Amino acid sequence: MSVLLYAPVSKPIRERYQHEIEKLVPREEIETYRTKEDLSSRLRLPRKDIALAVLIATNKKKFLEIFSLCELLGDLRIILLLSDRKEDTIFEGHRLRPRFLGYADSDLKVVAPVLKNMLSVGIESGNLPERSGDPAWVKKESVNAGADLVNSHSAKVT
Amino acid sequence: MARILIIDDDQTICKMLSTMVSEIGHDTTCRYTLNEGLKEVVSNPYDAVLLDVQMPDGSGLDILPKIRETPSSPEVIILTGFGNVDGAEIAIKNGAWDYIQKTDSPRKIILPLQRVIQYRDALKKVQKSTVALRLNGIVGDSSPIRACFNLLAQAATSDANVLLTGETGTGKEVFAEAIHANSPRHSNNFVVVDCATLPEALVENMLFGHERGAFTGADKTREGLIKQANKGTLFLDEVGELPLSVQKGFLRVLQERRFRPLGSRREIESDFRIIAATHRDLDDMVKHGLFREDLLFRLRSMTIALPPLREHPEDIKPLAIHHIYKLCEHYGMETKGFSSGFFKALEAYGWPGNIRELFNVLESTLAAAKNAPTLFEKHLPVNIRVLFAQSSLRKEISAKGDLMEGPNPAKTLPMLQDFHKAMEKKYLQDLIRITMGNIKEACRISGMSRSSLYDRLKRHRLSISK
Ligand SMILES: Nc1ncnc2c1ncn2[C@@H]1O[C@H](COP(=O)(O)OP(=O)(O)OP(=O)(O)O)[C@@H](O)[C@H]1O
Ligand SMILES: [Mg+2]
Repeated sequence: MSVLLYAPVSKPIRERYQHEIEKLVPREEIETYRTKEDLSSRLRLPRKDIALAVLIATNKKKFLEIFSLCELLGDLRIILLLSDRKEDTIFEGHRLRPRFLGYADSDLKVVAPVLKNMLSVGIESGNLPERSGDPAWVKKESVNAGADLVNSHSAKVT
Repeated sequence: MARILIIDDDQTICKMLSTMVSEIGHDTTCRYTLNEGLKEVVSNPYDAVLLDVQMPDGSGLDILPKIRETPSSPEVIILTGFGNVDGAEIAIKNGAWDYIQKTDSPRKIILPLQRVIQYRDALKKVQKSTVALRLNGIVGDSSPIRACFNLLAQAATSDANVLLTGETGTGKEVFAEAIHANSPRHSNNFVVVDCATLPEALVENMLFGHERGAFTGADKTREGLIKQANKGTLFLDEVGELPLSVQKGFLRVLQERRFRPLGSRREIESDFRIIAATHRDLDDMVKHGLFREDLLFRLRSMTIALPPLREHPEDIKPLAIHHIYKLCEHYGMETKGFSSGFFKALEAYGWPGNIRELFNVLESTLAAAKNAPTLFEKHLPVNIRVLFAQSSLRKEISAKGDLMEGPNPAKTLPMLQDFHKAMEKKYLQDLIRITMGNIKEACRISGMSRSSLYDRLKRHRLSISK
């Protein structure tokens, strides 16, 4: 099983996301794509082995490119990070039916905890076949980013 | 009433078939050359064509694809002479529905035809109901699914909260989307809240949103999902996993349609409609104190319980056809034909993962079939084939069993040894058929060694013809 990462963004940003995903999934299990054409070709191949897709857009044009692949994305489980918070971008974002919709400029640290839950829930419910011979696929190390975010928030919001 | 075209140069056979088909209430037309037959099917719609292979102006197999491409795209049943197994296989590989031997009994000839007609009726009904409801590729015409479509239609015209229940992979999400798509809210957001995968610590933040500076790291205001669902639909997927700590606050939002984002002093409003889904028994969770009763009461103003696939096996075939076509289109492949045994094997399996599992299996099947134009049982994963073989065997045994329960069991009961022998022969025949004569596969499925398999085949005078 692999995680598909679509990151048509600058190298440093891409590497940051890769790094977050690598906290959970071995590097060789991450399929990274940088252009719409490559992503589109990949989506035209059997995808039973793709556990889910993380799609990142840092500007509207890149987002619209993702959106144009709507039909091919079908019912892949998607984590979508949008380029901006404008109403129409959010509207189109929801039309891709993401399981998690966030923003590229603020949700880097949220990706890992969400991904972690998605991977374990998927396997439990049979949505994702377990990888044969490697039950420890989902790395066990703790991912605290989400907890950090909210621990600090619950401390402040009363 | 279905329309059947018979293409055969033998007028006696045409007449006989025509009488048989009329007797079961359908219309027939006969044509005696391929050329005339093709002209007829191009200009008039047909549900099925009975097509002879050896014709004066060529082989029926040559016009088979052309018949399938005509506007009414009728199913083709091939008529073969006795024992022409190879011809039959070629026919099926070329997209024929089935083949019958002209020497078969009338019942055997009519049976595949009746199946075709049933299938065409089902397709027509699905197409009709699609006109009324935007079904976005939801397939099904069995009575359990039609009952769900009726509820879907009711849900779409009301603004009531809907709870969708059903095992994993039964279509809860596609139904939720269809309710939204058919409702007056369809031009606004359909917002998915995946309660099972949002980290507990983030749920409130995601649902309600926050003000800038609400907590360390909150350097931008975030609009909550509830607000994004304003004038649209909020889909609470796997609502059974919503943390108890959040349920109380959420119930209030549901009652008042207003809430306060984290760190904000003001309340904001949102006019959203709730659709929730779960594979859990929420009543049981209420009993165990894991889910709030008052929230459950609110969520299920209306319930749609989606049936597991094993309870509507008649939908397996249309679902499979629909999905294979879709996959072929995505992969840029020619569409595939199907052997009738292929569907029988799918129907013999229990599908614990329901439609999602069916779709995953079809993807693997397509990969296994590579360039083969027709999908056969042998392309299916081994576990499904084994179950199919076992269930065929069980049917055979129970048919024999019925015989034994006849009026005079003592007379019909065979010697145990003979019974055993007959069963073994039947098993081997099925094994060869299912594996299409692939010895390696046959050994794998049966657990026999090569030599022992050959030995038994010889004993029963069976041969392997691919
Ligand atoms: N009636 C149907 N016609 C066509 N496709 C369907 C139908 N029902 C479900 N599917 C397909 O089956 C798969 C699973 O459907 P869906 O995700 O809606 O199920 P679910 O009940 O939400 O499952 P889970 O509980 O695992 O989340 C999807 O690919 C969906 O498109
Ligand atoms: Mg679901």
